[in-house]
Amino acid sequence: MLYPLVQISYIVASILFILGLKQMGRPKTAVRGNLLGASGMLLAVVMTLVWIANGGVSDQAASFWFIGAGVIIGAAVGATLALRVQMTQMPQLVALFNGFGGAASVFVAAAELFSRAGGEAMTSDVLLATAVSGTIGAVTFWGSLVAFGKLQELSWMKKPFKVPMQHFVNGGLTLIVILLTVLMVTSSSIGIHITLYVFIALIASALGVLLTNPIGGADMPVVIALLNSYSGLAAAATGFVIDNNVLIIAGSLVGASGVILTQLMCKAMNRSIVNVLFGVMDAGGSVGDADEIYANVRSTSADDVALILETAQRVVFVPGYGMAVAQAQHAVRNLGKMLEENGATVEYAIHPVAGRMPGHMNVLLAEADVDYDKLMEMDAINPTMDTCDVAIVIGANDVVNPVAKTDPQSPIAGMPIIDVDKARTVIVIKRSLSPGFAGIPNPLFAADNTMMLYGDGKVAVLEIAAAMREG
Amino acid sequence: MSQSPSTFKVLGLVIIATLLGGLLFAQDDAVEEAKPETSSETPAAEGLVTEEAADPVAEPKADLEAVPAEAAPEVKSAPTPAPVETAPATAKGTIRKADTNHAAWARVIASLTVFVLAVFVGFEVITKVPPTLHTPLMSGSNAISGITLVGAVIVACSMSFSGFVGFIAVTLATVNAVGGFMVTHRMLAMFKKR
Repeated sequence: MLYPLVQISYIVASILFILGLKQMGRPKTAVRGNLLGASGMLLAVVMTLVWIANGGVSDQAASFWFIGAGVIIGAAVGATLALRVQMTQMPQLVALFNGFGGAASVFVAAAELFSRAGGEAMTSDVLLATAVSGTIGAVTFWGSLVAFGKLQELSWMKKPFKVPMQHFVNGGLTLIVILLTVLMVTSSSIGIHITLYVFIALIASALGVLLTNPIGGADMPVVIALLNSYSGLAAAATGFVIDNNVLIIAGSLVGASGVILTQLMCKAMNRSIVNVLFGVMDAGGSVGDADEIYANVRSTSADDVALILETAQRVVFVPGYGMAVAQAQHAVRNLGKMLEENGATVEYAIHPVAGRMPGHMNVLLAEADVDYDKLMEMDAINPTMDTCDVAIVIGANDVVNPVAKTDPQSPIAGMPIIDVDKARTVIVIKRSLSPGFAGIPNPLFAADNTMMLYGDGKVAVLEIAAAMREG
Repeated sequence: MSQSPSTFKVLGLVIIATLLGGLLFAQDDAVEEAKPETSSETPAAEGLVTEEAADPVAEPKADLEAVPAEAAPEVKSAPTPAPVETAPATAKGTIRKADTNHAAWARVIASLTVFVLAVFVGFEVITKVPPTLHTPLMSGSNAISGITLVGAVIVACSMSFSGFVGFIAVTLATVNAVGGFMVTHRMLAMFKKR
């Protein structure tokens, strides 16, 4: 009687996951959605434990030592990471969790395979699922680790190492994985299954590193979204291995959501997923000489900016990852509050790929107590940019580069941008004229209505605020 | 108002997925009930027969997928003549052959159906999420992929090498699930309107 009960609890858990994800799509219900998901997980795990305790898995007495130890260690590590992490480091943490999920799939499939030693071999469909689970899981784990290293800006990972004929090596390794999978599925010996599985997992690990290695900076949001999708698919594949529906359903839900976010990110950069994964960004050919473009750059001071802001009716902040690095979000919010008290409307224009993962900038501003209805999407704010008195660009570069619209030869050609150049006055707060991720100069900085305010984002904003208070 | 049609669509898909899932469980129960009967022969002998039987079956090379399905009835029909049950047993055996073949396929197909439908439910549910919520959504869905924990505890419940591998999986999956849900909660709490 217990078996159907456990399976029904899995259905309930799946429904909780679906409803949870649905509710996470709206700000008002998002907290409850997350709790629904968590309770679904708790239900599924507890019912599984009850099932195990009652001899559901094997005739021998179940041992809970490994499970207990794993849950305690895992919960302690997970909770510590979750509570300690800073919001700027969120992309790294999500990458790390993704990787752990992928690795867990590799080990579950492995354990299931090892437990067959000396017993009945798996049928070929289960073997196929095992190989797929090992492959996707290993690619996810190592890919996520590399992504983590890049996002954490570990010094030895800053520059991708060079692999000669990268595409051929990757293609070759993929072929080997497929070949080994075919061998594994067609073989009937458990010993061969285990050996081949280990090799598949090892080669997939190398593949995970090699695939993520060349992808850099600006493309990170896409990579994180894609790895998120992979971790779901790995869980689904594991569901096929141990014939468990809740894994299949939850895994494919996550897989689908990852794919959608990947698509959104690619669209926001006007690049295809193939281009992101395999294409190397070309150095800008016809962009022109930086010195020539920057010949007429005007710089300004915090006092002058304060004077301009005094009379502004509508101010739009355009934050980029640089703002988060400078930890300037609280200073920006305080300046925004001051402007509002002064009678101005203040909005924040968020580019879809601002920050290092989808929606990252929104989280950073929310942490600084900026109301989410003041955060405007690019498409919502662009049509009204020409009624904007002052646009303050802080720590952003490529996402406001008009070259994307004017020069079809540019590496960022066709990427949708925030039209700050339409604002009456543009103030760019930046340390220097150094290029952004795309490595190209930005003509916006030299435009007639643009003034550069050089300096650290946080210091500059604090200075403006101080000057306004005095004035 | 614009939300209601999509909600209905989602609910519809959930119901379909649930129904198909239910069918799958029914199939599983049938297999479960059938299992003890076949394993009433000495387990060691059965293990040997499986390996030997697989070779002659592999000769026709008809279809790779079909090999295990055909191998299974071979195992059952081989030992049946030996016990006392004679004529009715063989008749039963022929019915079984079709049955097990069918059940093995039905199980895979049902799982695939659940998979495909769940992917579509995922697409339906996630589209049109405002960018504000992309990061929490991603970390929340990431936590859900920690569902591997259910699989991990199943393989970790024995004191053996595979149990130890399962222990690693339990640890990793728990980090993913617990950490994921907690950090998502932390983020979403910041979005609350003041």
